[in-house]
Amino acid sequence: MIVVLAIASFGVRFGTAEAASGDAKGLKIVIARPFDIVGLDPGFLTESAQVVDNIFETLVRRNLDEKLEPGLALSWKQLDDTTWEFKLREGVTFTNGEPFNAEAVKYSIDRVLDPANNAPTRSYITTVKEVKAVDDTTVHVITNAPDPLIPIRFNRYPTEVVPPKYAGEVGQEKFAQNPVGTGPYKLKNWDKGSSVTLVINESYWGDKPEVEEVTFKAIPEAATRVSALINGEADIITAVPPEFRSQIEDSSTAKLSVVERGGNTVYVGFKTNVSPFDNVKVRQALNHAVDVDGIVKNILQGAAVATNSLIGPKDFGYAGEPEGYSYDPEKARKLLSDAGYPNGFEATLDTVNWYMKNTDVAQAIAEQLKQVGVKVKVNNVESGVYRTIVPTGEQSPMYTLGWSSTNTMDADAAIFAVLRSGEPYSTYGNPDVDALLDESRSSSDQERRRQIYAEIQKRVIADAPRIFLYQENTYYGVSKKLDWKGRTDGSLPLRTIKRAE
Amino acid sequence: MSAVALTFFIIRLSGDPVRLMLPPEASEARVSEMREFLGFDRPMSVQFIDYLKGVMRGDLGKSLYFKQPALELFIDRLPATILLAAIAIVLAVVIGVSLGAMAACRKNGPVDYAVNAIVLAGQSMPVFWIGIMLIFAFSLRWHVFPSSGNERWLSIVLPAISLAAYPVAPIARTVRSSLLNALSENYIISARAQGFSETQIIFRHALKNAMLPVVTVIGLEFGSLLGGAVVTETVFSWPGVGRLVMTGVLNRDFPLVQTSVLMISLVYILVNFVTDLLYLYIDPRIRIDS
Repeated sequence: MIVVLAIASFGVRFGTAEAASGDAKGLKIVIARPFDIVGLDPGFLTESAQVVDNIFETLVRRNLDEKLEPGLALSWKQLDDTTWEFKLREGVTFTNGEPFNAEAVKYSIDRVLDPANNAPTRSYITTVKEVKAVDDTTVHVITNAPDPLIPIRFNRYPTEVVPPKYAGEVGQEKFAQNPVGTGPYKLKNWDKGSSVTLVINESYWGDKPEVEEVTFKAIPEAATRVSALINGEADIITAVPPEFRSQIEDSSTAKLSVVERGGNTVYVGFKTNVSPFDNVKVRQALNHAVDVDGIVKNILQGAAVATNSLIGPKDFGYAGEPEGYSYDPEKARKLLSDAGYPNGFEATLDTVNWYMKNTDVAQAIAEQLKQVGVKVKVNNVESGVYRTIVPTGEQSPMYTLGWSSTNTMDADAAIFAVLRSGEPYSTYGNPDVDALLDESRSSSDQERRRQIYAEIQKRVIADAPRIFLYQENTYYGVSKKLDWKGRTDGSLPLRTIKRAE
Repeated sequence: MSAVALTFFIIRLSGDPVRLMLPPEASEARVSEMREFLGFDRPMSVQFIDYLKGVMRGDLGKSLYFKQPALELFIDRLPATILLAAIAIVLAVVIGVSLGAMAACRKNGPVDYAVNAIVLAGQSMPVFWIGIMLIFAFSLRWHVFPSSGNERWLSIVLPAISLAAYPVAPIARTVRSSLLNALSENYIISARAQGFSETQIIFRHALKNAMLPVVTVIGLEFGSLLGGAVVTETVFSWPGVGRLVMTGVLNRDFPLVQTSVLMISLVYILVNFVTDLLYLYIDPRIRIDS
């Protein structure tokens, strides 16, 4: 026992971060997410930017309707094919007193682009050739080729602006532990492996937020996270699995925030160069054989929306809901017969727990395909293994995958990586679609880009390189004491959290 | 040492940390560049020898995911786990010994059967299920204990109970059988003849002599507690080494997993060594010259 007491008094920190929405003065809240926080340098993240985006800011930000609005930049425009100009906000300082200016923007981007620093998300901004500080409040971003996505790139990590002097002095590792930014909050306390607490930045240039202090906790187990919310130990929880929806809705303390189609567009991909999936009739047949509406209704209990669209409704490039393949086993059998497989064939379908009820959905698909003579074996793959085998093409010829525009809210992120031939996650290749995809990345004419995405959509449906399934909803749990809604871009801007009326 | 070698190779065969560190759409070129940067492009044998050299120097490498020295991370989280495991083992011993003693006293009676049923249930319920049931009952329904975290002393109660559930079974069973053995010894018969009450006989005379196998079981179970901590700490969001290992494995964080396995093996060896020393104290026959 003496040993135990000694350990307790030395090592284990019982912090003081008391859960619950605060007192009369400042509002203090707890947000529980499934993951630990490992580093708070936005330039070198290997996790989501939900926390750092409250400490740091980007040149462009998104408002409550998730439309782009001025952040650290007041305005931006394209000067020529490869030059974008940003006019910066004046009088902004970092929480350590360093001034925010064009040099700071240049420094922040340069350190991510520098190959020696090996930033994990460098690929998000590799189209940038150079950042020029024209004067204190003017920045020119020079791109290697025309890039219509520059404003979006400067809305998202790794383009948050860091203080050059401080960041340079302390070095990358220390900076990630003791971040300094211009954002509405600053780091107060970090209990490693347990929680991070942010407190309001009194010298913030914008409106003063209602929430005074926020503790981000990691609670990996969903049932525990939901219990913590209902119990009042947490005020907002992320990543609520659909089976917990009713528990939150029925509680007297919390409410459910639904982001319809806020998640991945999930599909069964085909390796289109592997027999029999190299035959378009086979791919179309399998689309006719799967009852997507039934799966969404009965297995997912309405936690997703059946769709043939490659692009989410809030993303740039969305062109409404296109016609796809009706559920018609008879037609499926006929197409299989035409393709030379009157008795069907055998195949393996790989799946992974990244998606809602993935195994149940895969089993249902296998069962429905059996009705048209295709015998499918479902193979559940561990997450880390799947992240290795899919990009190297070692998965089975049928595999589950989901993709989304993540926080860019643009069709480019939603489809390029899974449709362009040669991309690690693509098992499809159509020269016409490739050409369109390439043009969509270089055309500065946004109207033209819209047309291109509509055209791509049409061709991909005809080619059927996948079984079109559905787009998942995302769910948040929010205390009834708060007024906040989950967002499609997945961010958690603390400054938008208010007390409930 | 074999544990170290085994871990080194198995985790390397089970996935690629480089892809988990980069965004999914990263190009092949970017992946190989990162691999080179981390030194994973070298032959595995070279990496292994390098690793062993590091271990000799006390350098266990830097966590890929946390970007901090792996040993530092482990040592930082160790006290939380030891505290949890220690409280769990104390709980398990108190409950296990009482149940075992009760069963032995009322051999083949209803109490014996009831204890047997409880023990069996405790052993067959998965740790995560017990944990979630405890949360539903004690924090959601009755609001007695917090569901997770480590902010308050009360926070440790539920994880400790759920971690204790498993070792209760082997402890109770061992106590029962070894107590029954002891109760048939001659000195017990003589104690009965002297008119001691049954309770006195069990707690004063029999239990002490029945403790030897029980101590062995406790020592072994302490090791399995460290394993159970991986699940318990994840369910209750307890910031110990169990969750650290979980994060390490999910992210294929080679240095972190290797360090954790090495250190847990050392703790296990240490606990068994202490158990052996305890024999000397409990059983005077083992002391050779004194």
